[in-house]
Amino acid sequence: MRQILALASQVLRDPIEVVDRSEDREELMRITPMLLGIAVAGSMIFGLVVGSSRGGLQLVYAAVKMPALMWIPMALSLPAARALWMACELEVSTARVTLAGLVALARTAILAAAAGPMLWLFYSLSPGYHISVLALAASLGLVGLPGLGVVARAMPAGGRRRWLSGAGSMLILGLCFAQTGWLLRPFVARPAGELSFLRPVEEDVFSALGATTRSAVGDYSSDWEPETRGMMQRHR
Amino acid sequence: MEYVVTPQGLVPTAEEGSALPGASTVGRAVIGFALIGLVTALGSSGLEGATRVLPAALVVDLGALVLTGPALLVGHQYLGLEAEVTELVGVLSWVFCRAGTVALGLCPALLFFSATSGLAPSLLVLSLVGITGMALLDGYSGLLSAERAAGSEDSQRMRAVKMQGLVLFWMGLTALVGLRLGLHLGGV
Repeated sequence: MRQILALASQVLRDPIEVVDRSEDREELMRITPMLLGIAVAGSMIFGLVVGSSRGGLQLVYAAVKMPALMWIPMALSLPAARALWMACELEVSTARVTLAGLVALARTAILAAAAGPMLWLFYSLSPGYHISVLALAASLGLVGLPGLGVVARAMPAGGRRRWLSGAGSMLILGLCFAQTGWLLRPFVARPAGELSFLRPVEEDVFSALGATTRSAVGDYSSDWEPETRGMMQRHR
Repeated sequence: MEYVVTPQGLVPTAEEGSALPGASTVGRAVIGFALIGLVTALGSSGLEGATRVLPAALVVDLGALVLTGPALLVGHQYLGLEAEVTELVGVLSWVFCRAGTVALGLCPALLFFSATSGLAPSLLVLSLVGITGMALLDGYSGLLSAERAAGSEDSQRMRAVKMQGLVLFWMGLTALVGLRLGLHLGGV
């Protein structure tokens, strides 16, 4: 336990040092379960807080889904990020990229857990559903940025057009994060809606955002009828 | 690609781009382009859509490079520029390999979108535009460096101007050929 707390402290104080010293296989094997544990615990706490906006079973649902919301986009975008860094003439090992991703996840999760009380306090004032969702998105953005910074800073110096690989990685991560959030919804359940662990796979996050935006400006001229697309369409 | 160890990490040597990439590097790039088409095709709504998308990346990027590469080499010789042809071929080969590696890296994310939404074909187009743009920028700086490193100092300024014009023309031609191939695959 003391080791885990010490690691959590290092992840907050000097994450790059953690990445630097853990690249050899033995240290990587030792540190990976601890980083994963920290990431899961931190994001579950944050999930509990988000679920508290509705209470009841949603507490459990949001707590279980929140770790997946953090690691799925990271796992999907790390190969692309590594390829982009390599295209900019930076030779980065898979171990270093993975480690940077894990440290970033752990850092984000700890910060999310720490931000939990503030979000809980806000939810305790019974804000509306849309405001609650916006507060969740803002909190995730706020705690996610320092985590993303770890991945960028963990890459070796040099190379050409680093900004391009940085911007490309952020774009891919952002797209994957948005779609994962859409798939794993609801986190903040509608007050009058029926509780469910996952909603059916329908359309995509951008189509939903378009429909929401139209509704928000009072345009109800076209009905949004979400359909299942992609591979899932054939397996229904 | 060769690297030197520096305090900042592994940094490519100045000769990077001069040697031809190995078979495994080329193979990885080809697999990357083939796979990115395959994972997108898996999420296509019909067989026709899938058959259009499947070869898209390979045809657009490799096709554009194969069709315009010889024109660059011929233009280079015609203008009396001094870099070795093998150097230029080396630069173009590395450009293709790096682009293919990026395509391979994008496959997990595209597979995810292919499985969960209908966005994969649009994202494939976006990816191809990004990859091609990056490859062209890469080619621009690599080809100019190759010309700068060759020949005598006194003719360098004139050669640099000619090379810049040639490479910019080649970039435009490659982008247009790639676009045409892409539109053809899209049924336009």
